[in-house]
Amino acid sequence: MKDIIHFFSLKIPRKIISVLLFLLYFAVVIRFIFEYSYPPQSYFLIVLFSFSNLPSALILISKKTNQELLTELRATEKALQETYRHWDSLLSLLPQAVFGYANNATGNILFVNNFGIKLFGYKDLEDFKKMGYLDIFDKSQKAKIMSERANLVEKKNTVISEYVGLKKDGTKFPVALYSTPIIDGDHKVSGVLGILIDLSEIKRFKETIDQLHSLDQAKDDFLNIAAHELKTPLTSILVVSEILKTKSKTLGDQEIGKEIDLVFGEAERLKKIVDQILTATRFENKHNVIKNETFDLLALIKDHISSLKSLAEPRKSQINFAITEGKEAWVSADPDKILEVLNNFVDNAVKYGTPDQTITIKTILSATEVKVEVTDQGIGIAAEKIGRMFSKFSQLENSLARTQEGIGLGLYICRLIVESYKGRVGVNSVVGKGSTFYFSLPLVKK
Amino acid sequence: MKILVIDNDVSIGITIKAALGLNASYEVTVCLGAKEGLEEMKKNEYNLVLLDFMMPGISGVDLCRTMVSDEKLKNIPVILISALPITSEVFQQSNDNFNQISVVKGLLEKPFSVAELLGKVESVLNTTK
Repeated sequence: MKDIIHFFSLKIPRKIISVLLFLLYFAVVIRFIFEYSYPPQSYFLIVLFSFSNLPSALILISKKTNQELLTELRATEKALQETYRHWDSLLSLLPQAVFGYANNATGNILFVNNFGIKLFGYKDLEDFKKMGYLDIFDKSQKAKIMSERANLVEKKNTVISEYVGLKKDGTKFPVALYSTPIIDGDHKVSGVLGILIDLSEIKRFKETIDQLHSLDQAKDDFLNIAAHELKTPLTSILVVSEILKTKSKTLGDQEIGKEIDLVFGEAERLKKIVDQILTATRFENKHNVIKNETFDLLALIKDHISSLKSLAEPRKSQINFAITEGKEAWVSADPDKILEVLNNFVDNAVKYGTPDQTITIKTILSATEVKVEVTDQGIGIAAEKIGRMFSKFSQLENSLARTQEGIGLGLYICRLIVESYKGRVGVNSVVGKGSTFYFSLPLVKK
Repeated sequence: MKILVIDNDVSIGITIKAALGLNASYEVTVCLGAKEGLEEMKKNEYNLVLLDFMMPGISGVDLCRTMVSDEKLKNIPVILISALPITSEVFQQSNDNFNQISVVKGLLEKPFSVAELLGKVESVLNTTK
């Protein structure tokens, strides 16, 4: 139908006709009311008439022409098709199987995305559509599937379950299925929409991780037992060699004295290793009691300047202190443990740095934390090794090439200590220039 | 001062005896089991007992409990010795708070030095005099 009407030589839009007709209708009725009734009844009737007719008048006046409706319909259809295409390409992109099936006895597959077709090993959509919902799972799952589908249809909720999937060639594989009911206009469940995730890889990873965890635990248990077993004979060696040391001095036998010193020194070294292993394994098994004291970390470092300096003496290194002046840094931790961390950092800097180097101990105070840096002028650490510096047995990786003693538990223990007080440890390094090891602790109120 | 050492490990018995021997006023006897130790305590009077925490059969802790219920033995101070972390509170709590048994006056974790051993023995003897 045309939207413009020719009235003599005038071109009138069709819409105006309905407006004009209405105005005419209103005028005739109002004139009629005036003619046959008197005020105030006439006014009342006019108002009543106008209001009662207004909605239908508005609908008629604003009524869209067929042409307009058709254009609108086409636009909507186009938008819908576009949305559908978007969803369709999204679905085929998804690395998970997405499918829908009818809510009937066979559970006919209604649609499935490309990934689903490939996952189950079918040729194409038509090939897949021949299957019922039950055919894509192992027969052992039937009872579980039926009961959960009944539950889904009844409660109309999204359900997540694990099943054993069945490929076209008969291969079984673990899957997770998210299903949600498709509800039609009559609020009835017409079908079910499912997203299916292949769990084979995840299960394999999980098994590997579990195995690694139990191996790690077994190794810790073994170390723990071994370390404890070592402690008793070690006690005898330490105590008896210490007694012999005193005796050799009174006897004045220098030769034996030197040898006993060696035995005692080596026993002490063994003791340190045993202690490290036990500290590491006890921390992991939460056997270590965390002692909390509130103290000024800056003051603690200043109090230990001379003992820290003595660590550098054997290799003729210097230690330069850059401790924040005129400020306090209160932290909550065990001061002995924190000193152990600092000693370890300095000890490493001395051991791995060049002789005659200058080591710098620097503190940096921020609003929330205090950071202590120990910088050496050593060979630096290669980028690929930096990530493992604070891991357990970091030294064992390259045991033939290592240049220094130790089993690589020192920095690991430092990390455990600092982290148990909610602090952080870290290292920055430039190969050939040196490394900076640091730890930080959160500041607390005095 | 008469000191009794009860430890199933022969070497530890010899070691402790040698170390305590550095102090001429200590007279040390070694027993290799809890049962023998108990008999020895009943037979002769001792000023201090150094006791291994873990022993086959009757453990050091069992022996301490027996001592507490014995009129004659309940006043002898005991120093428990172990390679286990006996000074750790967590360890004590998970082992029935053995450190709170009245006869237990000191704890010593292996390995210890001569000075630590002598110091501990001296301090326990001093406080219980």
